[in-house]
Amino acid sequence: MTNRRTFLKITITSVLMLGVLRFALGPFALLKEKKYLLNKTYNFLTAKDHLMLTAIIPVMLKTSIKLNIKEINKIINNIDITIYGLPLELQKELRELFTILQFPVTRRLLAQVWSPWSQTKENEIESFLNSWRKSKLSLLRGAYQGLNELIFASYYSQPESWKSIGYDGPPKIL
Amino acid sequence: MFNDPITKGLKSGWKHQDASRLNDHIHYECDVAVIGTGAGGGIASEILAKSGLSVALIEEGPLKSSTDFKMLESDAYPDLYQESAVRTTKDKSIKILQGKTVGGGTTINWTTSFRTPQLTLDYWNKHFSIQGASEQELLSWFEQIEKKLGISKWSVPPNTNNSLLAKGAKKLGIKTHSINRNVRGCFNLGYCGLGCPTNAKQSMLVTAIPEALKNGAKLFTRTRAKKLIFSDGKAQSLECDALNDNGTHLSGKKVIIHANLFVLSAGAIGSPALLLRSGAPDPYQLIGKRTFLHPVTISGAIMPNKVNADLGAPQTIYSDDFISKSLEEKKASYKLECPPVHPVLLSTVIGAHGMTHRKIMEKMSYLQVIISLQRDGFHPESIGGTVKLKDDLTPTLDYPITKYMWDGFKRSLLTMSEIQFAAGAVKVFPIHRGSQEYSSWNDAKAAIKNFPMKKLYAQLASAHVMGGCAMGENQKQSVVNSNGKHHHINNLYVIDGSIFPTSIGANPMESIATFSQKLSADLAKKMP
Repeated sequence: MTNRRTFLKITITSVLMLGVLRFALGPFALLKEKKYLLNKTYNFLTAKDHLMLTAIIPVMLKTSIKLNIKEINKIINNIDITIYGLPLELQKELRELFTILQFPVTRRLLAQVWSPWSQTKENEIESFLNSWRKSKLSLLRGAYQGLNELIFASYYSQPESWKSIGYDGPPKIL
Repeated sequence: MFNDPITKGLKSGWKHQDASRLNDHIHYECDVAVIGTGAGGGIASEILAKSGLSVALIEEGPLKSSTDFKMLESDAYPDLYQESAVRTTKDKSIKILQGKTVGGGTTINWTTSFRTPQLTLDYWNKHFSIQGASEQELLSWFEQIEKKLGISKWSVPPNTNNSLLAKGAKKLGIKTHSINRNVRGCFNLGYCGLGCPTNAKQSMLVTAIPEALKNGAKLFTRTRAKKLIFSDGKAQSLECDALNDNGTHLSGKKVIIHANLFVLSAGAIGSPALLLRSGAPDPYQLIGKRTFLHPVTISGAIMPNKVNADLGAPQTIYSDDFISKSLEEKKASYKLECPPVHPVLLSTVIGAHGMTHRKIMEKMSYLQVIISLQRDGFHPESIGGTVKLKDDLTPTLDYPITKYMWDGFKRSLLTMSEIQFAAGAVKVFPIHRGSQEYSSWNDAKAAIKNFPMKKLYAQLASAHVMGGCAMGENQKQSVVNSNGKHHHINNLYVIDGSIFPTSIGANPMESIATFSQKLSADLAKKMP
């Protein structure tokens, strides 16, 4: 019980802190991120999102054949297109989620991911996903669902992913 | 290629304005503005246009037709569904699949057609004062719609997915029946949910809407109805925002429709939302209340042989054995059906990741899937949700789930697992975050009984949104009267799934179309 209460307290504090920080740093943080976007131009994603998704995608998907970086980049590109097609309110929610996952304090407190996304180990990400999936907070269970759907939809909508799951694609009608 | 009545009609001069291409604001004058092009608005626009009135049809989504339908989830969800098919209730616990394209839900539904169940009509008769909605009074209207939409018995044998539901149920003494479909010359492909590529599905897109356009109606697409302007107790005009060509951002241009009559057919989330945004009179605070979903639970099974549940008519077998036969429902009731299984749809409902998820995906062609649809709105502890407006004035549905409902969801998971084992399943996995794969009915039963029943544990979904602008003669209970006329605004009608005072208890398309046929015919007679 104490654990749960402490956890809730930390959560609330960190969410509040995030709000203040976002307000204070928001515009500058964005400017800084833009610089890292070398050849990639996304509609929604930032360079930090790219790094984070590069770490999470292989753990979420766990295909029997290891995905190479080109394949991962393609999934990330699809994620960007998907998000850009969502209503603006949903885009705003996703931006908040990604910020929470990237800001070191909230990343550590809420996701228990201790190192930056470019250095996280697979098992650390695995336990982050497991803990959010069955979190006591429905907010985090919902966030898990969001990440889960984004990544799986962006992967399994590609014809390249079909053969390995024994799906022949839509029937030929002509 | 298949005959595409839309591309052909446009060439012959049908009037269509894609608002994303507007360079300037526009004003348009007509007799009737019909807002929404699904089963409600589609039928209404046909009848009103044929009666000689000038009609404007307003649609938020794009105009896509069979030429565009490639049976690809990557195209269909962003193009044809509300919020790219990731719409959920406010707390994210129920996924909502809803159409956002010309033809609305009829363009992307699974062709399942039921008359409104007699028990539902009897319940309305007992609890809501609705005139003209007895089975007898509706009979000829159902027949008209069945003729118009080709609704009839499907004589092709069910696909393996559906026949396994029948097989498992039979072993347990559960009765199943076959489902009527609204198709003509169907190729039995199984991709109805992504838009019919052969125009076999008799959606609004190939039936009522071409008739309306042939009779001079003008279609506005990528046009989001924002606000009705009232003065002197009448709706005077409708303000719409033009959207950009991917439908997410406003283009900045306005479409203003001036009409003598406004028919609101934007569906059970869209219609209440427009009334709320417009500040429509609502003395008893009823707009958006009692919005129903037929919340769905899902159970997957791995079969010893291939099922290929992506192929063949998606829904052909159902069971109503778990629907209460009495007017006084004692515990939550549910209908059993099957869904189609496509990679994106499947991968995004499993609610797991890593190897657990991957193992299921690799067995995709062996999967048999059953869904239960809970009949909400028939008990004091099942009162539906409330449509509310977000900060940006777009709608959201706040849908609380009661203990009474959770009990129904748990029982439905038990029922579906038992049927799947009886049908020969090697493994069953109820879609629930507390679940594993089970190898026997006894294991599954013991585990499901202990499942924590809470939101975002059990994966819930909905493809049927109903209610929110209930009809009836009692103004303390309803937003519109039995003719669909708003109680306080004489030239404003609501004709769509939002007028139902409960859920239907069956896939609602035929009910919506039938009520629209009846109410629109009455309305056309009244117009000068």
